[in-house]
Amino acid sequence: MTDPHSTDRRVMLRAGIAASMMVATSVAASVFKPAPVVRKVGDTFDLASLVPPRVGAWEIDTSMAPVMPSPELQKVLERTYDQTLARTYMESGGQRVMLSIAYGGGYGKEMQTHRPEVCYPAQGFQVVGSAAKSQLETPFGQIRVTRLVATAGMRTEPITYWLILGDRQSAFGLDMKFVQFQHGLRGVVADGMLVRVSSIGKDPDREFSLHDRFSADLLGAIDAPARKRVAGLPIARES
Amino acid sequence: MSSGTDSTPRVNVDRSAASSSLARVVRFLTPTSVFGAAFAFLYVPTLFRLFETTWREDSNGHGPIVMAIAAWLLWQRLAGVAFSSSIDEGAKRVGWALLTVGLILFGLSRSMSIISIETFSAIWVASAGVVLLGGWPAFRRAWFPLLFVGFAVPLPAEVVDTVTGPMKIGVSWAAEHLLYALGYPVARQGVVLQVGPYQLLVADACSGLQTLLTLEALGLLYINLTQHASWVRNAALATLIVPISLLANVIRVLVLILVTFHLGDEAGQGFLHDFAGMVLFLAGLLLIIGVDALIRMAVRPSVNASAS
Repeated sequence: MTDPHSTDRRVMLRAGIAASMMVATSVAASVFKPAPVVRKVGDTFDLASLVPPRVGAWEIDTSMAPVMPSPELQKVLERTYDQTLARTYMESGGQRVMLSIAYGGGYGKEMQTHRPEVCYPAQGFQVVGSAAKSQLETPFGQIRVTRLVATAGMRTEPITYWLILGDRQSAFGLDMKFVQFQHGLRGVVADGMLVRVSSIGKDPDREFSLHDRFSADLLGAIDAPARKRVAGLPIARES
Repeated sequence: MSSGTDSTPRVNVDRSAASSSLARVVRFLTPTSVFGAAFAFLYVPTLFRLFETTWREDSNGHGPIVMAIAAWLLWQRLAGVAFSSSIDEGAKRVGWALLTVGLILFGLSRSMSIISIETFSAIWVASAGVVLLGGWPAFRRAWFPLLFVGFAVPLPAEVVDTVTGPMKIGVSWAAEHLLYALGYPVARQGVVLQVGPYQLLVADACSGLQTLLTLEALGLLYINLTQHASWVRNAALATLIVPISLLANVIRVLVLILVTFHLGDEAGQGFLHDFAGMVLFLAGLLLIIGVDALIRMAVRPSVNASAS
């Protein structure tokens, strides 16, 4: 016959151990919470002035606007996002390229809504086939990019985009989660920059070469710290 | 308890007062309250964060309701259940394993501010508590409310994005074909529907994902509360809720389009914000109850046959 007091004690002991484990975990989690990256005063920058109005042979064209998030999303973004930029650049030959940059909170929902696979369909576009990962060659190094084609009626828009997290090239999905995890362990929260280059045209390969050319020109038109921010180049050796 | 001497009456009074207030405190220290206090320490901040962020959005409006229902069911089913004195060895191991997994999930997600995993961890930790304190008998009574909390866990953005796209296209496709069959002048491009002079975009909110989750939660609650013996009926209903909710969502989109077409753009937008959600919910609910009645009619003849 079990002594009721001893069984109570056993249950109580279990409860006590469980409770201690729980409280300890909670305290540890609070202690190891990463602090946002504190950028030096010199580091604060203005996206609009970072990207010059002349990029090589390209100039800003005010007649065409890049695809923006829907109004409902725009409100969310204005509330949460740090800086965005949307411009069309035109060459003397009449070639047009649309540049859209979103800079801000890192790996939260904000970044996801700017992701072309999400942003374009939300505006009524259809993504043709699936997005493909690729490498974009520039004189300053390679950029890991994602390429896709979106259509809406007569408008066919090949898109090239890349993601920079904490000055390092990244990608949506597992890569982003891994970087987030690494940053979490080191106790930092990185900022993120999503760069999107797109143009209108039926031949994707031709348009992608156009994007490559524009991107190389863009990197040539900005200084080294800006290149690190915008493209994560040169690629740092893993420390 | 007094010593009887006048020199130190004060000490005695203090000591007896202290011991009786200690006794009062100890009486409240039950295994449940100890675990419950720790649980609250962990998850009340989570609850606050949910109220401030995820549950602010319309799409997650069902969150607090699901939590409240789960908490109430848990209370109702575990009240009066004795602590498991001779707890199964297996149950003890499972309990500690559940707690370990839950706390790892909690620790990582709390430090990295991933609210969805943080909320998810609560199911593990709460289950661990039930198993460790009450053993298998307690868990058998409590498993439904514990798992029901899953419906309150915010879905990760990646999952939502992957699923919403095809769902929107599906709804648009269905709406297009139904309207065409009804004789309306309709054309579709992706998720944009052109009906007469009106152009309507099937937005994320119309994809039906939220409806699916809400109705599935409701359906499972209904099944669990009505406690019907036939598992065939339970399984059938739980599965059929998926097509039912998709159908209910298509009905909502259709009604919105028809209102816009016949009564103009403003009426349509007004409807969208005021009544669409209600229409959807009622449609889904009626369909669930109707389907359940049909299933019961199908099950009953076989019951009669076996009885005779």
